[in-house]
Amino acid sequence: MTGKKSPGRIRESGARKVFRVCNVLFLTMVCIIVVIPIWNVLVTSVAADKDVMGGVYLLFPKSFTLKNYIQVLNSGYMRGFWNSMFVAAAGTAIAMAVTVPMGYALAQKNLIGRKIIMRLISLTLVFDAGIMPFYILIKTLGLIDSRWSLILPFAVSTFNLVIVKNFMTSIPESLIESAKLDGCNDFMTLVKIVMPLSVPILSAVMLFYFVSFWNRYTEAVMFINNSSKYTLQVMLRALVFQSDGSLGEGNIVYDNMKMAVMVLGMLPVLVIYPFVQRYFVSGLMLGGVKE
Amino acid sequence: MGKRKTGGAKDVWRTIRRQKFLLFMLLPGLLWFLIFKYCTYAGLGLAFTNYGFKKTVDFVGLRNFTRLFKSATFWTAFKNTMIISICNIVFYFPFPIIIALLINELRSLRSKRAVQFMIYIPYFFSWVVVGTIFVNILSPSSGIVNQIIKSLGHEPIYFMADVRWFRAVLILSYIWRQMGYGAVIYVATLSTVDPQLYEAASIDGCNKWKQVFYITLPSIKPTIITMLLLNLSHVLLIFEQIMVMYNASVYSVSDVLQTYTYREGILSGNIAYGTAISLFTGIVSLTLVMGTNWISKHFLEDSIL
Amino acid sequence: MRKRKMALALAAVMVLGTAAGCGQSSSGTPQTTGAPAADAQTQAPGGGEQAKDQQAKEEKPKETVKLTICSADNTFGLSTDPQLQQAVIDMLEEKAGVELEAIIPPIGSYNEKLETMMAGGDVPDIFSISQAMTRLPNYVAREQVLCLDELIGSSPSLSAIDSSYYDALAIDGKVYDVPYYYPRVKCLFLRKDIMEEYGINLSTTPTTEEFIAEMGKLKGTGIIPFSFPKWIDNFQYFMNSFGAYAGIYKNQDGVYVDGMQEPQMTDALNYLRELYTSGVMDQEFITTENNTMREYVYTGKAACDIDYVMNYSNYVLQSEAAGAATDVQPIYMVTGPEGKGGGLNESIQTAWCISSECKNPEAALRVIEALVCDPEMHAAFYNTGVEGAHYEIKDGLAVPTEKASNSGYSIKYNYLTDSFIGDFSSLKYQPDENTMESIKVQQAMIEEAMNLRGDKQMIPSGISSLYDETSASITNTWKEVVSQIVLGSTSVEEGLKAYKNFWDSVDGDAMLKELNGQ
Repeated sequence: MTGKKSPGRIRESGARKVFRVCNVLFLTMVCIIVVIPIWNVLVTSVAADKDVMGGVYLLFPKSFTLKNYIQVLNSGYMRGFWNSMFVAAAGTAIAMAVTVPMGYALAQKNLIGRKIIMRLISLTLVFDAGIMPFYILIKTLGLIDSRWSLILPFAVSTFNLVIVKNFMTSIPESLIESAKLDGCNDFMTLVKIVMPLSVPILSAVMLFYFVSFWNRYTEAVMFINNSSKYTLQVMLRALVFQSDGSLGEGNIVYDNMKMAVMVLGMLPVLVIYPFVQRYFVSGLMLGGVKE
Repeated sequence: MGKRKTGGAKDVWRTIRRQKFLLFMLLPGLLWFLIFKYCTYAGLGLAFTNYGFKKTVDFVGLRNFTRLFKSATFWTAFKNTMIISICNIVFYFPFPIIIALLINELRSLRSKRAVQFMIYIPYFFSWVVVGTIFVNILSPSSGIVNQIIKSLGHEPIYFMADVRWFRAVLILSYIWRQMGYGAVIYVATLSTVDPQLYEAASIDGCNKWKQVFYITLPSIKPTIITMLLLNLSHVLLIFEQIMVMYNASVYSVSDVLQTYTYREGILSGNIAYGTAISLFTGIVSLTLVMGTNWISKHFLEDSIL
Repeated sequence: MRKRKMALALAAVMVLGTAAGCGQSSSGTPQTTGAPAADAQTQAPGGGEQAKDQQAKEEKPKETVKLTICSADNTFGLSTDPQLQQAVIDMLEEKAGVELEAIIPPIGSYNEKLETMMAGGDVPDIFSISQAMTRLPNYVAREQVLCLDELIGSSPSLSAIDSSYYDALAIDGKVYDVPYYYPRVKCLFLRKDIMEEYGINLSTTPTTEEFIAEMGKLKGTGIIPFSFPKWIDNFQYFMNSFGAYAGIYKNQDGVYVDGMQEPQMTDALNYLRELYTSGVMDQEFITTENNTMREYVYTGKAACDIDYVMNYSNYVLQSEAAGAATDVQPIYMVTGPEGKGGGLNESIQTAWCISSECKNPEAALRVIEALVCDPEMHAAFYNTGVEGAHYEIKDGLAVPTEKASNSGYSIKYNYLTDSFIGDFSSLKYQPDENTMESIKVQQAMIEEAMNLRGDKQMIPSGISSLYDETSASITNTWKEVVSQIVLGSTSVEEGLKAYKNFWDSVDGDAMLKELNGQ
């Protein structure tokens, strides 16, 4: 902390260098703690059956086979994949279309009834009626066994809505007012001024939505009856858990298969992730748009 | 609300007309909340019935709640939920912020992205897998942690079956899995902090520490409070993790409201009782959230909800 | 610049979203009505053929009933592939002469799914229940299942099933279900190669002391003598040796008592504790899953475990696959000091029920009849699937089709030993000689285990509301106390005292009085 008086960005102080090295070391350690299990999973997923029996988690590959991956991919993976893709893509699009304008409207301090609406919305954060009333509602709406039962009921997450609303509240009002003076209505202001400023948050929220649609399991089992409409998560878990019932019947599934299933289940999201990530892990040079 | 301020139905009407775009933007969302949230709340009424063990459904008043408050198992579950949740908040909550700040300090964009990407992956591990991994590394005979303990000359510890350690295992595994996911929002917020502020500060001779305390933290403060409130609102709903990680010998420290509901409500088919527990959980969460919001309003002059 | 682009992309996504949303809401009604119509169309050809068949036969009256059937995905031919499942459904439709709509949830979530549908008023016409003893009383109390006494009486094949299997799940003397297969019994399996190598000498019914002494020979070898799963219910196997029973049961005098507070429970707990301290039982059993336990024995990492008798052939096959081939010896019961003992009886695990609101119970019963008593249908539904879809026949042997084996399916012959059907010789294929051999051994083992099985009781719902409300907590508490005693975190006396405190806090004595009708 005994930094020299000279501007820090030109010459670094000694303490700063120490910090930088420590930081790199610490983050590397965090990454290792995270990566070792991931590595385990990958190695296990390509190992032969006899090498993984008895819950052995391998650190070094003993054998290499793609049989589990091939089997999963052949077991109707693509059907589950497209079902999931439809739910996640349509779901995210609808969710963003509802959440962003709503968040913007709620961020406007002069909005009529704003306080009451916020209170009512906050209540939904904590109260959950449980699966039964939910099931009956879906049934009443005639959505049982329809893919829309996995989309519409989750079109808004209060969590994400509050994040969007709060971020938009922090945007200086002067910017919005000057847009209004230029003759923009609220919709134009949102698209032209507010959304460009909120790109990092919006892309993070979009990711949250996509992942939550992608990973949804319980509701997919509860609301979908026809197994050809099952999403990837349901399909993959069914493949693995057939063996898990203590009933001792069904097919025997070893850990290598379970791991292959997990890798293939998360792969699509991990492929998308870096593209979205560009918009929220960005360099500082992007802040200037505010002008 | 509007009435008091503007005085007269005409003014309200005028405001509505002026805000027609805003209201139009609000409409789909409001409808959604009405249908998918508030309609299901009618089902909370089941908490006052005896739905579950008979063909007919009768109104039984507060009977489910008196049973609830009389049950020792319920209070154990409640106590455990509060302890685990509060520990989760205290220990887990700062982690994503710290990680995000550290990532933000990295110089190269590429390593920023790489770190951010890697710590995000565990979120996709199902709890079943996380459970297996932790059972393996904590095994008293073969786990790496106990091998280190043994090499230091101590007795191995059976973490998964020890009532003194089990909660710590829960919290650590929670941090491990959720850390990267929790950091996403902070990283996103940090990237919107105006770089000119930093430039101005460093010209004024502020070192990095001061910059963090006077610029970075204040600019993400609203996000931190929002995340705190949001985390508090669902922290009582911890379920799947416990379900796959606990075992009979640690029930007394890990049986939580949700596992209790699952057992007594869903598996035993006593729906009314399960709903009563949900309602109770909701009220406790509400108190937590409202309390925090009040504190935030009074001490940070920042109301979130 | 980039931000602008992203914003534009976001805006586009939003517009699309709204469009999709509007599209949905405007076309919502036709779509929801459209889906069943489409289903009906795809099913029409099948239905049509069936109708033709029936016209040709001119025997059965033409049926237009459509029934729903719900069973987990470990049935319907043991494949999770919808097309393969459909082949089994088609076969069932033909056999029973009804049209069926099948709901096939994953086994892991089956109970929750069924419970939700039942509570939500969507009771399937025909459904299977797993863990029948815990679930059936509930459904009966809610009057959601049909009493089957008359229907079964009218069916010769179902009446032929030993009445003791119906009685096991009868409530007030009435039968509400058709058991799907024999009661499940667990025994211990001991690797014969390890027995030979280390000179372990145990019969199929050794004494409690012999078991500890002989298994103790493995100490220090690195082999886990006795691998055990984290599921505490399995301790009942050893409690049987002392005449103890965890939970509430009707004793010899016909009075309900609490097993945890009976004197013989203390002996049982002391023995279990000894199993653990002597190092015979896996020191890490409390974190061992069923699959892990089995794999320990397959690979020879452990010498012995506890499993369903019907899994015998799996041990032979899987130990070979693991490169440690061996035969295993069953231990049906461990004989206690007073000559008591018995295998772990899990009773009828899966049973078929008919909804009390089913429009055509006779047709529903025909479906159940086919599933339980028709050799071809039973084999197809329970294990093997349909010829042409799941397997093809080559030289009298069934060989999985490419499509089926890709979906994780493999041919299983468990139906030969599990079902009530004695004779499967009418099938077009038979297992190969090796399999046949081990199936025969397994058959004999199951018969022996059935003779030596311990006690298992069902307590009906709706008699004591105190019991209905606390039974889950009671089970949870005895499991906790027993596991803590075995692991040594509490002593037998302290543990039982803690249990007694709990018992008093839930008014246990009043509950017993209610159950006993006092």
